[in-house]
Amino acid sequence: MSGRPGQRLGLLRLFCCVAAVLLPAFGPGFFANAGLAGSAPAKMVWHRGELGDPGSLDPHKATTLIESNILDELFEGLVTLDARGEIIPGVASSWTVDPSGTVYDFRLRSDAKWSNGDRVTPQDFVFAFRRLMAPRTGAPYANVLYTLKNAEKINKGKLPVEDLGARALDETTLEITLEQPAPYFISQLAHMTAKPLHQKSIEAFESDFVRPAHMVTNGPFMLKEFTPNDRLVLVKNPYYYDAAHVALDAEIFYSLEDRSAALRRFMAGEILSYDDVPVEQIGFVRAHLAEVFKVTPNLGSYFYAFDTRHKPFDDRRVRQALSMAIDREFLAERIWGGTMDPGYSFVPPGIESYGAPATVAWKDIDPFEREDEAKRLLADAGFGPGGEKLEVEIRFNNSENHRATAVAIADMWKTLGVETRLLATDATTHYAFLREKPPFDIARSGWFADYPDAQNFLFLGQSDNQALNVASFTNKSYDRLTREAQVEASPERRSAILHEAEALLLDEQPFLVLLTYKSRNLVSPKLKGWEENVRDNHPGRYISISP
Amino acid sequence: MLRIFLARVATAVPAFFIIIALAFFLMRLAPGGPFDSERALDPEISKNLRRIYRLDLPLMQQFWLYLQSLAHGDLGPSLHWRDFSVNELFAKALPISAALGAKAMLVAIIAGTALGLVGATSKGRIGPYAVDGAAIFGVVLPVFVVAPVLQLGFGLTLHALPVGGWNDGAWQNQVLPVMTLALPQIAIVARLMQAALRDALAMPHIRTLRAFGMPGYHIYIHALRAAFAPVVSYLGLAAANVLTGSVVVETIFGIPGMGRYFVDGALGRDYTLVMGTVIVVAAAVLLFNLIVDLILAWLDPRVRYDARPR
Repeated sequence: MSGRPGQRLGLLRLFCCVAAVLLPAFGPGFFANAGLAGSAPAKMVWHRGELGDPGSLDPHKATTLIESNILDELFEGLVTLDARGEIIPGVASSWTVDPSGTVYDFRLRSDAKWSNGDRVTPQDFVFAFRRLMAPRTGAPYANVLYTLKNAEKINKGKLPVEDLGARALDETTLEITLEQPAPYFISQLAHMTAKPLHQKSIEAFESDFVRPAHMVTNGPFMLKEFTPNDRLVLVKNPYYYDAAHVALDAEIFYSLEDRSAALRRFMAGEILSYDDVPVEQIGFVRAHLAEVFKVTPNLGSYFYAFDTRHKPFDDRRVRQALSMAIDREFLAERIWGGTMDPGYSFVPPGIESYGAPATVAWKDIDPFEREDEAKRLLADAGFGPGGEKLEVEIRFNNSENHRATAVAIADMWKTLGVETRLLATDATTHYAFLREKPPFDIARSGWFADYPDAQNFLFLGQSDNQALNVASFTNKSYDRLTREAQVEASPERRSAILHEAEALLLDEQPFLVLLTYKSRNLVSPKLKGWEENVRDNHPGRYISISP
Repeated sequence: MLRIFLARVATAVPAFFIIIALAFFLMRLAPGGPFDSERALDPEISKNLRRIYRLDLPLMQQFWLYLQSLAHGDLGPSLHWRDFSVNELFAKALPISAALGAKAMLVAIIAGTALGLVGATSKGRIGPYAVDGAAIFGVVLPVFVVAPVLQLGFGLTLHALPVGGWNDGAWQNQVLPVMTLALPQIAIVARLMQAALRDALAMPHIRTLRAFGMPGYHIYIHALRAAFAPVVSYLGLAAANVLTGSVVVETIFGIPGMGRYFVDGALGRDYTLVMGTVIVVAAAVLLFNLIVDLILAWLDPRVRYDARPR
């Protein structure tokens, strides 16, 4: 360096001045928090990474799985779930059903309390159910409980809320009357829409009752803090009747949308669990984190819907041929890294009351024979050599895996001489399209169970299910079977009827079944009491943390 | 100076209104609405929801209602974060993004200026090229590469800093995001500074100062004053950008700032949230442009002279 000494000194002085002026701008808080992490008392806290944040903590405004998981911690309905995701009595200690199967009497626990010490009464449920159905609440999932007498009419403004089939018989007994028998009613009661609400705090604070300062809950935990995109802090509810057996002091949910960053935070020990993994890093996860990586079948179906209103997809043979030509094992293993199962049924396996689902007739046939049969079906329908060329368009919501799946399927269909175009849109556009239902060829869709019952999948094919029957499938025999199952009292006969309906749906193939979902969790070995289950529900009530 | 100020404000107000109107109507052109998600709603329930949020009214009426509540400083309820108003969301998020962004800008100005100075004054062969090389490196490395690398290095390997999270703004949690945000800015500032300072040092008035035997720092203060003009012009827009949050940095580090609302709001058709982010960014851009104009006028008398009516 050839600079003069004076010059260098000048520069140094200049920067010292600048630094002295700017350093305080970092604020006293910038240094004050140093060492904060180590200063907190040793409490048992479950740091829980989740793929997103709840959009609302109001059980009547919530719609997503993450909201449902958090609401299960905050509120307890008449029934609740154990560590394995099985239904157990919650606020109701027992119940009886009348012979018609429409009137349920629930006896409530006398020690069930709200987080402010108030008793949980039958009236709290009546209040909550009425609020759920009141049109002014605008509850998106009110229709899950249309099973209650007059619920649908009330929700559509045709009857007053007082006509709802729910009333308090006395201080401890709640009577619920159904529109018609519903064998799945008890499992519906574990849904987030069936939680009780604390009437006084809602009347006092209206929609602000969900604020930490106002929120009164009756579950094992209560709300301490919620900052969107940051964290949601739940602390143990001392008034919970089983509080003596709740080991955790707090649960902190972190919304982590970047799966790769979440994986790094998990590896650094900053979170003890995360409910997803980046599929592109599945090889790394399997190689290095095999012990803590839990892949479990889940009650969700991944399928394509044909637009059965239009040619050529109104033809069963075309739908069946396209379905037969797909190598589902390839999709599950190679595209989804083994985090999906090949799907040959419409109802995913794992529903106890239903047993093994029906499967497509050609499930076990050799792939080459299947391909020949598919070609024959297409030829019968007038496509292929000597006939028309079949051109189809697959619409899907844009994501890397949906795209890779569609590309692989397009390639598989090439062997049938089918030309496939792909059309990706953002998720909102895609679902708005499916809602408005202009003509299309094939669209990606999927379904996760609201409650574990085959009916909750098979109703997607009912012709009167305007919103969810994406394929616009109409079949009189199918509608008749699902109606019969609805009123069938014997569980065995009901299961048989539902199997018959599913077999019919698979034979008609309006929904091209592709895969069934699996949940994928990273779970630290420190978490005790975390059990794999088909609902992918892990209540904090049963969790403890070893040091 | 006052004239410049008034002239800029006079153009900013209509620009602001046009931005709001454009954003409002363009957003409604996007297919779908805030209630479209994987699980389709019952048509009647969906209709009822649109009525509750007044999305069933004619568009012009909705716009008018929106302007009215905006005049009262109310950005409306968020349609996705249904327990919060947009004002409440921003009240928490904006200070976080702004604080992180301000720190990143400070680091960028100090480090960038220092590097620029070194580059412009080093007489050797390596100095200027080293600064140029480092600067290009900083510009071309995308944030979504820098952030994970920093997480892996400082968080997972060295265990020196947390990988992510906000932790009420503990300084440990701020270091990596600030570094990530600052890096590309340092590079740009360094390059601008180096070029501008080299030009400034060759100017006749600097040569005159040298000839009079002025001390080194005196010369540099004069040269820096001239050299800062292009840097300040750049910093104005950069600050408006960085202070309103970066979606990539905030998502990777799990920071509850503004950045994520831009993308989540637009993808989820959360109309009020999108409008809120547009308004915040537009206001920031207009404000920083104004500040830049004023600083430039202060730095350079010719700017003041040009602004006079002739």
